[in-house]
Amino acid sequence: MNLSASLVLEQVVNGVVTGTIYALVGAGLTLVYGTMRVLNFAHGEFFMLGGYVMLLTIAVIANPTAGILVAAVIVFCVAAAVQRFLLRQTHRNADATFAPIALTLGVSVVLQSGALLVFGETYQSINYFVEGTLRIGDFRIAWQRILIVIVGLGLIAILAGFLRFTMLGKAIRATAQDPDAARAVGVPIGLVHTLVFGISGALAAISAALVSPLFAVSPWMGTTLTIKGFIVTVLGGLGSFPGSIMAGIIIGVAESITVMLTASEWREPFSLLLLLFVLLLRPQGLMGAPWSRVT
Amino acid sequence: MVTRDVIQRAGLHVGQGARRFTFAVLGLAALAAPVLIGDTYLLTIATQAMVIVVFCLSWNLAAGFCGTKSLGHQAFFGIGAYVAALTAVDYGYSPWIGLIAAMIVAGLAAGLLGAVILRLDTLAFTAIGTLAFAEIVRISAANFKEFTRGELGFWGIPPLPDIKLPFGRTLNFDPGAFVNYYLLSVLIMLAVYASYRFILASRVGLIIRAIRDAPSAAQACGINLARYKLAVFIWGGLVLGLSGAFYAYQIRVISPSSVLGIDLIVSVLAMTVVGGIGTIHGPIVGAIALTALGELLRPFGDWRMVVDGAIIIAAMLYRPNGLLGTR
Repeated sequence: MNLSASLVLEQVVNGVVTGTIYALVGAGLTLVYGTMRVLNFAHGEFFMLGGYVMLLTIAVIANPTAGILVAAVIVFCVAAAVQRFLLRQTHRNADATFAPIALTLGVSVVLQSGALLVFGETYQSINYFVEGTLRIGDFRIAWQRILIVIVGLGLIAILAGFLRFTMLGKAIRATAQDPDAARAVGVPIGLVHTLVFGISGALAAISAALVSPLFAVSPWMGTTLTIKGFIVTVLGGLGSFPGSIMAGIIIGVAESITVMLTASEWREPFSLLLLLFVLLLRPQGLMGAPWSRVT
Repeated sequence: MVTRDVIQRAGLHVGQGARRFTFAVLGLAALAAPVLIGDTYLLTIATQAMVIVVFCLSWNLAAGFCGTKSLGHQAFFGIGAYVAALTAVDYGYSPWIGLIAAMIVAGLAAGLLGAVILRLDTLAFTAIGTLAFAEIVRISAANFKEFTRGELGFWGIPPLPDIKLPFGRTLNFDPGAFVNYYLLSVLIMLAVYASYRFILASRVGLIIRAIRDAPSAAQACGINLARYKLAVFIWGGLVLGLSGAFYAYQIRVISPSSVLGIDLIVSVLAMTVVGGIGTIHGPIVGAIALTALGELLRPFGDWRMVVDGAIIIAAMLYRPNGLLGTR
């Protein structure tokens, strides 16, 4: 293989593109873990659902922006409903730490195999939102990929601003820090939990809609992403919002370098191995401080 | 009721001798039924049910009694199955040796993983770390095609060799010897069950319950948490290695998704949770109930996974402590 400078640069930039998606997925997971200490195993399925809503919307009205918005709204509602009607009930369980994990695993199985029944075993893809490629010398990149990075990072910035400066954002951070104290000063923590779960689902849906031209939409597209999301959140420090964004980009770039040096089928084992090393050497992750304090 | 609870938690039966005897007789009758009926389809399902019971018991001891919520136990089952296949096909060892080798390798794998993961006592790290390990094993099995033949599946695994008995008789383990395979699976299950009960009834059993219920208090009593968790984890590895190897020699074709897939641990979780996680017999009840339900739902084919997921959700909402749950 010819490892010219522009090829390496292209791979690194591609890594940043996938890294942005990992960051969005990781941010959603860490938001949920940070506020309600729940590992959401159905997160990847929210992503998958977003991909399908995008696919269906684009088939009706060929407007990507509309598709992204519809995906965000619908998956927000689904995720909020899952939290409100299912997840919230498990807090009464004796084993309150494990019940949510088992429950979200159940939701994930139902959504994935449900999608398999409804949409079938096919891989579907849609056209690029924007045509053409950017060329600088030998270096080439599709505008679509640049769009993903810009929208993704913009979304993260908006979310960070929302958490930092708005009243609602402060309520979310207060709930994360100390639910009892938040309740005592009048924060409706039940509603905050539902809202956070919905936002997290919407984030997953938007990322899925953004990458639907690059990754094929299929019932299984969520499984690897859930695991990838966990790798990102643990690497960044469970519950650390900036940590998971940094970790997302790092994993994305590291993966494309692995693919460049070995073969694409070793991408997943590599990042999983990286996770085990992090657990061994630095279990608190890159930015291990509590999420609420860092933001 | 409180003392009754305590006694039950300590692994002792409340109803004393007579009730215990009745249950033992009923259990043995249920185990004998497939042999007496003699239907080969029923025997195959019953053999698989025994393998699944062993899986649920080993997961329950770690997750239910010791609080190690692993999502990666399928790795040990799969490692056992692949070691069994490789030793018999590529190296030509007798499958009886393969069973032992599989047990040892899977036990070592459990020790290695446990040493890394179990130092961290957070549930999140245990769940994610074990799942990551299992996925590494699964993808590696799919990628090392020259050894494992990848997702196409490892074909041509030999059945167990016959055993020569005294007086010129042989115990036949041909692929068609459904009764003998079933009886061997029952034997393995009973051996695992015996060791499971032995561990739970011993001092170690009390210690691991203490680790689950009050880790800080247990630590304050001078218990080395990580060591006991590791011991339980390694026991699970040994048991699943054996069980995976048996599965490989019985089914004679394995693939990364059939012996290492995430859906394995999802169904084990569903069965254990339905039966009652952290109860002694819950996993057995759950495994048999859901295997039977799966067979009844077979005509619905693709709906089986949806039902599996829905059962987990329903169990978490309406019967969080399982059918046999006391807590």
